[in-house]
Amino acid sequence: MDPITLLIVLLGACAVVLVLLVISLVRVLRGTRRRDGVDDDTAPTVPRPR
Amino acid sequence: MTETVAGGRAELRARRLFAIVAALIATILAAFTPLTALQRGLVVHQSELWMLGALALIALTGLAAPRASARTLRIMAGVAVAGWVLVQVATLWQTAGQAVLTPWVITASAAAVITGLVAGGVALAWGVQLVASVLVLVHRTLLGDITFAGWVNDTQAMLIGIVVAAIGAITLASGRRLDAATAERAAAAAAAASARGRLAARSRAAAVVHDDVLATLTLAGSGLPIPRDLLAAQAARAEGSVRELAAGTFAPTEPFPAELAAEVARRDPAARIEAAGDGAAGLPDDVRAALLGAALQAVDNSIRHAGPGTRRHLVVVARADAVTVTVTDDGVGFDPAALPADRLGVRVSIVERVRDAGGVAEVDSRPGGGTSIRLTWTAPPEPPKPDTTDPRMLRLGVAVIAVVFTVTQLAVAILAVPTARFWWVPLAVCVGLFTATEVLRRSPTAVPSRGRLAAVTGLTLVVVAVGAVLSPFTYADLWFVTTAAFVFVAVAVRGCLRWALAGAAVLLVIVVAVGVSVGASPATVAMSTARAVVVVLLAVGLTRVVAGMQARTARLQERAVRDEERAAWDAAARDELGDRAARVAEHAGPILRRIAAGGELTDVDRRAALAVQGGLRDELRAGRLATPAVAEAAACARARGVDVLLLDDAGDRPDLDLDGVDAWLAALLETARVRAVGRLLPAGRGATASATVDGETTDFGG
Amino acid sequence: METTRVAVVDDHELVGMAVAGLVADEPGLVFARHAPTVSALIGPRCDADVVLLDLSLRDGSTPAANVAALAHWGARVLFLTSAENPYLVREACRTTALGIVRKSAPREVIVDALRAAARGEHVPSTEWASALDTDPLLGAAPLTAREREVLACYASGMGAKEVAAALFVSENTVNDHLRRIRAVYQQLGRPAQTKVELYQRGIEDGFVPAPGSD
Repeated sequence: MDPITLLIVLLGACAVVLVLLVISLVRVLRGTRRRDGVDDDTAPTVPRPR
Repeated sequence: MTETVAGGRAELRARRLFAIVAALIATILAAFTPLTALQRGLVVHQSELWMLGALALIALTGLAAPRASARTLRIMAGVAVAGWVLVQVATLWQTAGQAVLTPWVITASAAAVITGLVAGGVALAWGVQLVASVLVLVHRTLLGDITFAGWVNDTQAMLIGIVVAAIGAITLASGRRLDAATAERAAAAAAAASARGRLAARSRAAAVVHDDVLATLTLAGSGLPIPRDLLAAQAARAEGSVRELAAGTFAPTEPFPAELAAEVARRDPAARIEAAGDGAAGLPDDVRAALLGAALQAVDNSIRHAGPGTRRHLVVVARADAVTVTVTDDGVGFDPAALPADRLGVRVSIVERVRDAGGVAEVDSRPGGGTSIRLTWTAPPEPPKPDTTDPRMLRLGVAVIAVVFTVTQLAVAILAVPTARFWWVPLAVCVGLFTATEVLRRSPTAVPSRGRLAAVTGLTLVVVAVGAVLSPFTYADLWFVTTAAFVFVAVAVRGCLRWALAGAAVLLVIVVAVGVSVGASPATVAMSTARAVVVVLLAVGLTRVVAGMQARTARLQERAVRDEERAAWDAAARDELGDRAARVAEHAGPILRRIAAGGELTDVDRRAALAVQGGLRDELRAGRLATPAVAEAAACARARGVDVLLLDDAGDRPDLDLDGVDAWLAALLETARVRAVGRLLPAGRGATASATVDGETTDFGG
Repeated sequence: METTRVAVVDDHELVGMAVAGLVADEPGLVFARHAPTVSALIGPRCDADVVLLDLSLRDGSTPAANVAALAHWGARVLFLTSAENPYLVREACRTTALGIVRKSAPREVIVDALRAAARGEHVPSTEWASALDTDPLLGAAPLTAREREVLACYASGMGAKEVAAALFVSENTVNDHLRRIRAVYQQLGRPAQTKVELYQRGIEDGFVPAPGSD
């Protein structure tokens, strides 16, 4: 295979990997936060002693 | 720095983040290889091919990161780093005496450093950077390729490497602390909930006892035709449970599996029952009640809906730390998704009830395929050991960075003098930027004031502008652009992300503008600004992540503290219960025993029952109205057959003046014939109290 | 006159018997049956017109859930209470139940309440009014001053006649006001709470005195 084709294939592969990585990045940044963001906001308030 | 092998969620997420970032950088670097090769006329060095391989390993780690476990991630990252270092060494061997220029891609170490962070923390990351820097230095020396541009390149790469590693280490540490806080909070919440549950169970027990006692007395006093023996039995039960409550021994005596088995057998004698384990002696009362109630509900539902001839099967296994209850039948089944939300049935009385107690309910049913309901509860885990991250390493890191920064930038500034247009420009720029960092460093508050930030940013940008205009537009002579970027990195790390981004943006604009105006090639402009942009973006991004984690840690810790406070309050409240039970036993004991004796109840007895019952209700609802005088008058009135209701609705009313209220009310009660209601009024009303006796209302006070 | 079938849901079978005895001599009312829980009462066919529902049942079910189930089944609900936990009473008032009656009330009061419930009418009682009158949520509700007066009078123990006389309006007007108050109150939202919280609130509102008080 001539060098040009090789280089183009390489560039193409890099582009694909780049896109995949960006998607992963966005997912890790956002998705996990939603999943483990349940901070137990249902805890009842402390009752006031009388 | 101690590290746990299996990191928690937040730490794992941080590691994954780094792996992906490293992969991104590696991929971009890899993409540059063909481009630079093209520029050189399609000449590709063998070392560049090897480097591509190493970069591919890093990219692979990043691609696998979102799904990889902590262990897998670290192993992959370790392999990638090892590969990269090997390639560096091999390149050294191979190009000794061959090429003239050091391929640029060899010197770009950021990706490997970050991958090292993923694999082995900050120690490995810095180790990788050190090895890389040393190897590159040796490389250049061997080739005689020590140029100003090379020096600028190498020092920038090194600085970026160690700075990113340091910020990354802080991120990992924050992640670990967040994980510890999460676990602690979960444990504390579980303990508090179970304590609350136990208190609730006890107050519920008290409520039940009250209810029993009040019901008995009401029935006795009502004169309705109730079978005497049943009433007597109820009175005996009520009196017994009051005494038990007062003695504080109101706890179920049967082990949970036995109790459940008995109750189910009562409902469906034909059911097949397997009960095992008695280790659930330590089962919290609320969990026990919830599981019991939910399981019996399931059996009730089955009896009612599964059709005639259905066979039911109950399996209950109770260990000290886990309880499982399974109720299955082979009846007509139903579609769990088709239940409307407002029906009392599966969702509320089973699923939510068990969930509220800390367990899980799984409902499996198909129309025509029988039903299976599984309830599981496991004891909450022990809180983990507190995180013992050593902060000294981080502080050392910051000091090292400061020193390296100062030394390298000064060296570069001096080296820039020969090629500068005016000899003083590089030195002036260096001084200017050092001043900026110093001004930032001397901020009295952790987050610098707006004025200070403006000064730092302004100074930096002015210096860069002047330098860019007065220097030749080459990659090496524009060394200070990356230096300025580090100023903005310092700004970002202190939390002022918008300032950092804005500053970097203006920096970019300035350099591009100057470049365009002097007609520089796009490649030069790109090379001069690329590192600056990358490092600022990395710093801003990581700081954002860290800030988020720190906020959540703080919230969790605050919650944990509140839970502890509440647990302490609950424990104190629990002691009050015993006291109240004793009073109930005292007031109601005698009349209950008389009813339990089973004889005919006279009018006197009935009135006495009503009087005691009224008195018990008053204890709950009459509050401050129930002074001895009023209580006496109310008891007399009730004994006369009057229906007396006393209400304390005053709450936290600030202007409450109870002087004379009780005498006034007692007098009114003495005149009552049929019905009397005495009420302390809530805030915002003119009067303090009101009384409605036989249809006539009078107010007191105000 | 149509006969109204009355069912009782209460932990104590004796209460069922007592109601049966009460209803036996009353024309137009007939006792259907007794069950310890709502789910035990609800069968495939709706055989009760009015259900007397104990406010605090031992099976841990909430008033709201119980009323919803019974309404869905097709019966009207009147709450029965022996101990007036104000929090529970408020929760009961927010349901579609027609009223709340004390178990220890005189028999005429209970019978009148049953007849009113059979007609689908709301049964305002002192307990109901007092629970609403002290609910802080009501402060922000869109009630007129006159309506709040009516509520306060009722909470102090007055009946419809007395309130009408005290405020110089007709009894019908008073009943209209009461209906409006009830409608408004049922619109007020409070999220459903867990059983543990329910009893925790019970402690808050004075069912069990807090440490250091008394």
